[in-house]
Amino acid sequence: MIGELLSKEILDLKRDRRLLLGSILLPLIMLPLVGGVLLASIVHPVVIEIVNNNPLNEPYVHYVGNYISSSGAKVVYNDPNSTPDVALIFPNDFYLNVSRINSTTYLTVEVSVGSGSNALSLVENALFNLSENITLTRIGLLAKEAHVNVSPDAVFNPLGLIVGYRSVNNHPVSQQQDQLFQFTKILSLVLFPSALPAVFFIVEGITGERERRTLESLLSTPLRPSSFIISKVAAGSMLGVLSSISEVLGIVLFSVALDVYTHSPVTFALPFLGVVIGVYMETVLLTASLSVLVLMLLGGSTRNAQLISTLIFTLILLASFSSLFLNFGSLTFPSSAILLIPYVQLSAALVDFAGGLYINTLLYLILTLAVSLFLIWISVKLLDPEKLLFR
Amino acid sequence: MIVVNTLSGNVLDITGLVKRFGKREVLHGVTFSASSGQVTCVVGPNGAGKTTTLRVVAGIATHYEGVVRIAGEEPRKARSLGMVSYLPEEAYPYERLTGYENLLFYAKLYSRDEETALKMVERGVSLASLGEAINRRTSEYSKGMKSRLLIARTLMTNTALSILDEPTSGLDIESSVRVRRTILNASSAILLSSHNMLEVDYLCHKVVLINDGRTVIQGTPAELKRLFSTENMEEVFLKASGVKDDR
Repeated sequence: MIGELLSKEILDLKRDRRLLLGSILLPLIMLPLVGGVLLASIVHPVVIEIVNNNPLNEPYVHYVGNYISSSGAKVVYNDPNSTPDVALIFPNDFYLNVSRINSTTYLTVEVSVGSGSNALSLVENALFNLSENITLTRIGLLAKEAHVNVSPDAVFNPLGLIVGYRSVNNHPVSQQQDQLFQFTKILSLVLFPSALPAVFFIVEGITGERERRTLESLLSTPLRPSSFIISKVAAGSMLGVLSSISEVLGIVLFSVALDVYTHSPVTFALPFLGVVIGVYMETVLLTASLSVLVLMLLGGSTRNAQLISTLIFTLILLASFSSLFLNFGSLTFPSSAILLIPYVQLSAALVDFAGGLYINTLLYLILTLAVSLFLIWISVKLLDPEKLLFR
Repeated sequence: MIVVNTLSGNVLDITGLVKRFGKREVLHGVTFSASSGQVTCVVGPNGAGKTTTLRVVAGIATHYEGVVRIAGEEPRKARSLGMVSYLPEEAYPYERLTGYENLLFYAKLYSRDEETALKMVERGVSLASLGEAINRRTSEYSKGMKSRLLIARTLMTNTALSILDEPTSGLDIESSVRVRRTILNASSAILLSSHNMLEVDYLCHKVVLINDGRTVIQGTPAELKRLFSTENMEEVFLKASGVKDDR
């Protein structure tokens, strides 16, 4: 009987083009959309204006200008019509003060209200670089005066830094893997919400039948409770398969866009995409089983469906934000108790895979699957037509 | 599927049916029976407990006291064995499916055997008499067409008992006449509720009057008319319910 009800659900779904389109489009565009906001800052760079009224300052002005423009920002010189994010003003006596070994010279920076914080950082970095060069020149001059043979660079930079990357379980990993780890956090932010259409389809599959007056007839047939619940969850999960494929296409699209605009693509292997599909499917299954359980407990009214939507949305937010802000590997009790929540487990499964903790990923996926199946089993036991129809 | 159409005697026996919604008791001991091959009508004022009684028999309202047996089985068991088909008062077909697909979906729920299911559908198509419209989506159907399809869907299954809750409610005269003909052509025992006493007189072999959650009286339309010395069922209803006729 699961087959019969499932066939009806699929036929129904095939003819509900809006839902079908939404389930495919939402996962496809979520990541490129959110990622696009991040890319927009690169495609539309910040504008820095450099104001200089003394031609003698020009070597320094051009040094700073070149540094800023090589960092991706747009630089304009002495343009009163421009609307820069930050204006850097070189005073008339800049050249004079800089060339003296024992003086400090001041520049003025005017920050436009509401401009991106990276605009000011760019200017500060450029000035730090210029300052370093001036310092090196001064050290060279002092060494010459003192007849001492020293490397100005060694005097100014006694410490060096070599950056390496390690996984959470202390294995050395590449910079690409670190990039993938960071990327996974952004992915988690969009992955869980994009599972919502499939989830709504399942909830609506029950409450909608009640509202459209088809549920009472259906529950009066020989249909078994297990067939009813499993076929509803299975139909939603099939929609989830479509959405998860779209999700993967969205990741590929975003990666291509990242490569085109930043020339630093995120590289990932097929197993990573497999884990994304797995996590997505388990999100749909977990949410479906949780929603069905709540419906069996409270009844199948629209109000209960809205309550479920709020509950699910909260849990999804929890999963998204926990992946964004938590380092699952370093959690200690009692904060590690958050990992008992199945949604957070799914989030951890994804992040841990990117961090090289493959066993953890597998365990979290198995655990969440077991919880989902348990919830479905309880729902089957609790199914009471009277409660579902009239509460 | 179990077909119990050949049973002789009562297909439905209800004794002392009590039903509560929370602390409120709405049925206080309803008792009646329905015979196979006959149309049994449950009548009564609004809120008398007709729909609740029908829901208990259909296996939808599951918490009750008293004895309810359909061909010897408790309603929930009878439902799971495919012995009952039920059309609620407010029912609609699946609007994204065609009339034929609606019939086929239900037939498959009642029979795992493809051939039997297709025979049910064939019977359903014939009972619905919708012509070419049977292959159109039901969202395009009029209220009367939907009603005929739903009644055909309920009766095509050939179950021991078919339950129809006010099947002609809200239909125009032509649609009502068609629906009544469909009911008369059915082969299974039918338990039907109605407010239309003309319809009751025309269709029913037995009438059960329920008022305030109790069985007030039951018998054939002829017996009841004789008992109350009237010539129509409407007066029987008014007299038996204790309602004054101001005409």
